[in-house]
Amino acid sequence: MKTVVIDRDLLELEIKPYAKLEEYRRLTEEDVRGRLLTAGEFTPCPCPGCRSTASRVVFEKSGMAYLECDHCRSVYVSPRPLEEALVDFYRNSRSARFWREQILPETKETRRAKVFRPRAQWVLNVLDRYRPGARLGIVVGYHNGLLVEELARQESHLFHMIVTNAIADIEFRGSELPNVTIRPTSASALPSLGPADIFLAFDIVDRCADVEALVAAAQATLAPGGLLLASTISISGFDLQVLWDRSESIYPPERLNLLSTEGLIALFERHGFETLEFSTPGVLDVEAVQRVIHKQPEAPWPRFIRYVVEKRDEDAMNGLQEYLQKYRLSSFARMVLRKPR
Amino acid sequence: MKTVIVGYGYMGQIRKQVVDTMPGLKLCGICDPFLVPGLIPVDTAHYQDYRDAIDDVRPDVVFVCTPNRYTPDVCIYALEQGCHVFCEKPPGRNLSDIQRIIEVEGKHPHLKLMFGFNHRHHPAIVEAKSFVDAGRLGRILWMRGVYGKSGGKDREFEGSWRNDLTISGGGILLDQGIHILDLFRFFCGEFHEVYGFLSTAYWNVSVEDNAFVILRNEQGQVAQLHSSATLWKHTFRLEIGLERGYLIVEGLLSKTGSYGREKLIIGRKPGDDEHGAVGNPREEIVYFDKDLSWDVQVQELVTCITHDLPVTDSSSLDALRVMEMVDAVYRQAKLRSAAASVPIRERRLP
Repeated sequence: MKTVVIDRDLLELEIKPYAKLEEYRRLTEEDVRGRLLTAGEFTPCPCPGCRSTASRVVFEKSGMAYLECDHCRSVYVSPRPLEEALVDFYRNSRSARFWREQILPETKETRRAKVFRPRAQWVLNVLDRYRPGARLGIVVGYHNGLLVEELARQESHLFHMIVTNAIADIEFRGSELPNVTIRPTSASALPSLGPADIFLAFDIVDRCADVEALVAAAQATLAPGGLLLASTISISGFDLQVLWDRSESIYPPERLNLLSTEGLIALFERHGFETLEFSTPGVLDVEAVQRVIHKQPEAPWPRFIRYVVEKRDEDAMNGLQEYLQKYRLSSFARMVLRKPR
Repeated sequence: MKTVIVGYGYMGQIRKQVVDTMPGLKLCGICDPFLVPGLIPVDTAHYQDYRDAIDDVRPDVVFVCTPNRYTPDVCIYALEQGCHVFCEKPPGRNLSDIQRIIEVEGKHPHLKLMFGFNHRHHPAIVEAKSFVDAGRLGRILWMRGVYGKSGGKDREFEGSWRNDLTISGGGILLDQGIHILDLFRFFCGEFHEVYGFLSTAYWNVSVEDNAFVILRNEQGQVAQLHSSATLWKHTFRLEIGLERGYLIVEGLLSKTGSYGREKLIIGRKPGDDEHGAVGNPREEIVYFDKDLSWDVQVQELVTCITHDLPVTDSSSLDALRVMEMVDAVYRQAKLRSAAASVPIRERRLP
């Protein structure tokens, strides 16, 4: 297994303008309480990482309970809304529209240059290394437009991609990319699109209602030796561990599953995947901790953490972030997994 | 396949671990004239003479892990007895040793012969090769390698067979530097010009403790090696300069971990729209935590034997070519020595 450290100059502000983000969070809270909580059925679930049922409530956000697994220490929402309610939320809620229409356009070029261009480079490097000659890719998860564009731009003979998320028709409206098919597809129907060489599941594990079904679908969709590339927010990361319930990154419904490193490994190994890479190349942990401690100085922060982020300079902050990446302790995790040949 | 290991020192014991876990191989005998009783594997026949081991066990595969002086004789005997051979590097003390081995190999074309250039299969090297072969960073412009160790405790290091010219045939260049020379070929192909300087700068030994080698091939790619037994901090560093970026392999997963955590640094030449990054590009560092190089190589040999495929990785041709480089450096050193090395300032006088 390998792990990757990335030296990247990205500030959270560049991809999440704070004023608009505050408004987005306010709308999300309203939508969750007014739309999701009243939408009907909620279902309890075991730990999405290790499937243990031994857990306890550790905090609550927007009326939903977050549980911590006693076994692998993943944190997850249970009971939780069904996938259909989430699709409705992402298609029709005011907060989702605000994200698509206000935040994404404003940050588009920064996201392209600093997030999606390097991610596309990484995808292509992974294919060069483990699956040269890939012909078919399946893309699940939301907001992958820039990634798909960058892949097409960087590789003229790109493999065919099928973008499957439930709102792909909205996200890709008006865009015509060669070798890209838009086909919203439920997880259970994904295998009918295969066999695929690569399955891209970016920023979806943390927000999908049924992780087990998603990973099982990836397994069934991939050809033998095919690759699953996934990214997610992980509770093992520095900012989430320090900030915990005060973290601004933890809110429903986008963060239903905050798997620990151990939970993520258990999840993918349970479905027979071999882990080729497990990295936490996040760049925003220290900045997030710094910002929240500054906003809530009265909270009982660990003395050492408070001292470091208040008294040390940018170089020390960068060094700390690099350390977190090197030892897989950032909260942004990415993985390369291979289905057995 | 019945397997015998000849030479049961440091490398022989590593090979035993590989053989023990490799499907298709069964260790049936070990041979070493100086076997340490506590180290002899239970239920495995042991011998002091390699000919007795091979004649008695009649193995399918022989691993040759002996000091350099004995390597060609053991390889040749094993081939002549119809055995496939895995031979540690270097393939003998000098060019004529590998030429002798190849001559006998040629008489037994159905047998497989592989040499232990395992660094090709270290994870960071494999990853770097993938980047180079994919071509996204352009073609290789140059390579530079540093591989060195601190020697060890004075008496232990100076008394090692590796530093006895009559047994080893050469010093640090033949012992460690040969890996980097092999990697230069692995990435750039054949080199036709070889220049080198040797020095015995510190240790009281009959071989070189430092070697500086510079090579150029017909594509104009230049490679430079510093191989040293006086690097007090153990070092492995291989740099590859390409048209649109660079790759640096640093550290090496090893039994002791003394070369540091193995990593690959990937740097991309900044684009025209990234003015601030000129001279200080963003880098990615890939850390590796598992070295499968020993297993991968032996698995490859087993596959070649099982499916009667030609050995294309770490073959006798690879061994020959790299020994030609080493030989060129040693011959130059001898010529310079014969010319009684005149200081540069003195030579410039009219």
